[in-house]
Amino acid sequence: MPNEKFLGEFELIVMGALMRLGDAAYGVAIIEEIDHRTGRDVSVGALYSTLNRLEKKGYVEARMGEASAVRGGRAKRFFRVTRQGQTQVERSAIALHSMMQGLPAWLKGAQA
Amino acid sequence: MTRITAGSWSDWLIYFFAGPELGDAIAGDLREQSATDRPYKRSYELAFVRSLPGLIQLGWRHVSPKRIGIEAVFAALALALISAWEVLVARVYAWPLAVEFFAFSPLSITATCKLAYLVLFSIGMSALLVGWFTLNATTQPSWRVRAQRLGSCSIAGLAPTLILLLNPGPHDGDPLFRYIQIVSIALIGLVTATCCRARLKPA
Repeated sequence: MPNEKFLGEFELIVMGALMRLGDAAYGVAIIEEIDHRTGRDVSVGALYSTLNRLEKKGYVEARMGEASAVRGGRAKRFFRVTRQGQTQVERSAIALHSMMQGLPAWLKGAQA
Repeated sequence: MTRITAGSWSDWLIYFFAGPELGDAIAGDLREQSATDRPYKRSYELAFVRSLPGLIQLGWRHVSPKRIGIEAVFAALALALISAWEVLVARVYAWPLAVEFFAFSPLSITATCKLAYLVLFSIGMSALLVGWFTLNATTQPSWRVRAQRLGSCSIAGLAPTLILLLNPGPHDGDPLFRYIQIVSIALIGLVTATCCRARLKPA
């Protein structure tokens, strides 16, 4: 565990969005959740590239969902955080929190 | 297995980089993002262009170094065999052969030369196919990959032959023809490698 790498900033954001969305986490919903919470305009390609990387690390698992007319008859791909992924998010969040502690007061808002 | 339903050039690129299953989800997401009732609506074209770097990154991550090596060896083998056959055999023997048989041929001397070239080139292609099947036997790919390889092999042989047929002349050693052939074979090798990557295990 000590040698295991931490999640990157964007990976952590994506993992957070997945955990918030639960069973409804698929491409567009994740992008909108990130945009809503962070104001970050994420491209579909960047998101899937990150999700694919997280999937390979075993932090995320995917399943195919239903197709719909608005998607041009194409299926959704739903993502879920695995137990291993949850542990990794906790580790990264604790590390981040620990680093932020004791920093100047103007950063307090960002910590909240 | 998800059916590939690419309907436009952008879809084709998405499936090309992401493979059938992931490509389906990405193409669907891009369409859904541009739907009018979305709170964070995006123009399809802009969203697609912005996604390209991620798609390219995604595509190459599927290809294992082992597979890149195998495909590179194949591309080099195909290039070497076709070029060697054409330069050493077809180019040298097609014209004398045609001249020899011209008396019996109902065709013009140029047409006879090209026919002889085609026959010799076909023999070369057959030799290449033997190598092709040997490679398949060694790497044990799926039937789809085998078919893709067969297709690229045929195109590799067909493209220069067609160029030759469209450009009359007593000798077939046109340098432009050679360059076009080399580039087309290299491109075919690259496209084949990338098309195959969706079926491959990650590195």
